[in-house]
Amino acid sequence: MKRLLAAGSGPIFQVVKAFRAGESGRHHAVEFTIAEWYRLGPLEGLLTEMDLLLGDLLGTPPAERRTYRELFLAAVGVDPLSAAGERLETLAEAHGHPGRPDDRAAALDYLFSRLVEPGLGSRAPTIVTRFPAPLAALARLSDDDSRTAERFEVYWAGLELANGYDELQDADEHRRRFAAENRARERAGRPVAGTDERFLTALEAPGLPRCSGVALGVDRLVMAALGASRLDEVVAFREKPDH
Amino acid sequence: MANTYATNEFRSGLKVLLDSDPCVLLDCEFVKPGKGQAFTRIRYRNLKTGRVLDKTFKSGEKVEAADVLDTEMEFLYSDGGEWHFMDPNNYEQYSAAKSALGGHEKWLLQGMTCGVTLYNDAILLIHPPHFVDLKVVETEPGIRGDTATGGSKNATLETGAVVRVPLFIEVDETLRLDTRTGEYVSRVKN
Repeated sequence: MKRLLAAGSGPIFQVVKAFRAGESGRHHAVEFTIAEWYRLGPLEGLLTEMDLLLGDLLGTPPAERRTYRELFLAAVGVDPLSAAGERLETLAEAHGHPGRPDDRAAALDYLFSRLVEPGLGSRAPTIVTRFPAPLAALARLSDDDSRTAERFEVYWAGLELANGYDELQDADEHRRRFAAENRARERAGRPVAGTDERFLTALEAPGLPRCSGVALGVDRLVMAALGASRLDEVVAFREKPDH
Repeated sequence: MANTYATNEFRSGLKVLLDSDPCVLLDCEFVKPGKGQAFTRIRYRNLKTGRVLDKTFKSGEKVEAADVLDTEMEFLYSDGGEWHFMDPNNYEQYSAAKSALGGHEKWLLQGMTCGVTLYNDAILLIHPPHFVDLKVVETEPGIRGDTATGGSKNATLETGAVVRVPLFIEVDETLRLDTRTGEYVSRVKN
């Protein structure tokens, strides 16, 4: 889709199947459906659109916006942007992380999922903004603070529904992040991803326009709309009926 | 090499060794924070201590299976130090230490069928029936006409257990008792 955007498509969307090997549980499935869409311009328009969509589909009140940092500080009591990696890793271990987390990103992810997520989106959807830079994925860094990235996630009733970025445009920065991601995968003993040269070429010329994109989990959205407690209540084929 | 289970085989009811104690999984949940490592979070009961605990595993980790079997056996006798049971299917005898009885020894009567948890083919835990019928061997004389006041007194049962019973209960009567609460339930017609 980003190659289409680079070719000048303008705003686009698709509803498509996604696959994640080995992911199976109450809120995960190997095969699931996402609605993915892009708008030109920075995040603001996309956040407003997301909020309106959830209001229409789920009847939710206007979303609350919270920065990753304020949520993390309130629930964990430590600053996710300035605390030493060592401190975060020790905390994660103390909260049940099996062994030492591999790095700062793993420690942050674990602590957030353990201590912050369960309370999110109880009254209104929560849009978590400004993720720490190590969790930037493919989001651009914030203009006013290079310790945070323009990535967001949407939570409703403790469940993550969507994940989006103010899309990174710089081709060299893409290469650096792909390489770092593969080094992390290698360390963790996970398969390394190949390089998508056609995508990287399109980023150099004609280049990706300033745009924001998001992927919304459709099955989770259906779960939330129906008040289901498990993903397999809303999909056609269960993978493990007894799990 | 002992059997192992990988995290994707976890399900409630599975018996595994955790910290070298036999445990039963009560609940398990796949969690994936962020884009990296996935985890399986479990709630389990330590079968030795009865404690319920939580633990998180990296997805793909393996744990050793515990050779735990739930079955039923007949209580034979106690020699004071050990309690002896028999598997009615093959007449094989097993002995249990006091720790396996968990205070339930006072309900056991010869010939009673009990639930038994075997670990490595030795008795780990004895589960008496939820309700047992036992005869009163000693209690103060019954006070007739005082059934409405709800008073109670001690009665010693044929197994040696002492329980609180209503005032009208007499020696030689058979009582039904709830072994989970240790309380008198009703009289049973002889």
